[in-house]
Amino acid sequence: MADADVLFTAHREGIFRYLCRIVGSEDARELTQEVFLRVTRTTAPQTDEGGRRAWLFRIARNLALNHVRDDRRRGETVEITGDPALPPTQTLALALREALDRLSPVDRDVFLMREAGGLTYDEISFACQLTPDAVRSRLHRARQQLRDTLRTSPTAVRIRRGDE
Amino acid sequence: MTRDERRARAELNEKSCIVVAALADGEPIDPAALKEALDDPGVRGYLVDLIALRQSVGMMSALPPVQWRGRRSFLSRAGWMAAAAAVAMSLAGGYVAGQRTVQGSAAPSVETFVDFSGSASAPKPTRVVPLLPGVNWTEKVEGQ
Repeated sequence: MADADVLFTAHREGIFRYLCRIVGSEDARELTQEVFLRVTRTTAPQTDEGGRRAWLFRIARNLALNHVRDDRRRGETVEITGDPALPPTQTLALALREALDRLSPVDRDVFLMREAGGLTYDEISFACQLTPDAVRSRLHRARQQLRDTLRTSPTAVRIRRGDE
Repeated sequence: MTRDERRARAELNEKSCIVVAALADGEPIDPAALKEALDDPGVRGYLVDLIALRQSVGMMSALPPVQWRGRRSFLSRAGWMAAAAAVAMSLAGGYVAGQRTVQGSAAPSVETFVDFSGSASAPKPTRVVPLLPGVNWTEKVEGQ
């Protein structure tokens, strides 16, 4: 239990940020709790800090995948409704979220684990069960795709032009 | 530029991009490979975009609570409509079948009447057994 407390304190924010970008803030709260609930029911692997973090993110990823699958099975789709009065930075964030939705699930996971979770390539490799080379390659592909999407996104283009 | 040259250039570009991405991600890198990668203006642009992308991801946390709206998909709606149609059809079918069954197997009407006009006399006998004197009607034969 003390183990779970330590892990919770150290990784709660990173796990929440990662989940938040996949399932939304409301469900991310519940899933973050579920991650650490599972941690209390099992024994954390006796590895270094990075290994434990990767292990936590693997749990989070599996929970997120199940959550998304259940949503699809229920026939529910999630619509992100943006307020037109949002400031440009937030509008850009919404454009980015839309661009993330267009990535393949694995590419998105790899990208978010790096950018939102702050995992190293080796940790992502463990969490996503990929080789480190595959992580590099998928990360590059995700970034290229996001870059291209945001370049052509009307929202991002308007922001760059300073129309908003 | 031939197709092979273009492909080779794209691969080189990808390798260079991966090297500068490793730099941005704090991963171990080969300094010589980094120097070579940064000589390419396109790769330098990629590095700048990568940093901008990272800042944008950071901004996502500043978003107000996402307004998640559970929206029924077309399939879900179609499923409910199909279920409602099935219930309606089974009700209608049951009603029609019931109607036909009642009409087909209706009990024949029986008309009963009592005629009080005639006398209540017994019908005539078809056979007459004469009661002869001296015959023992109660005698048992072979235990019968």
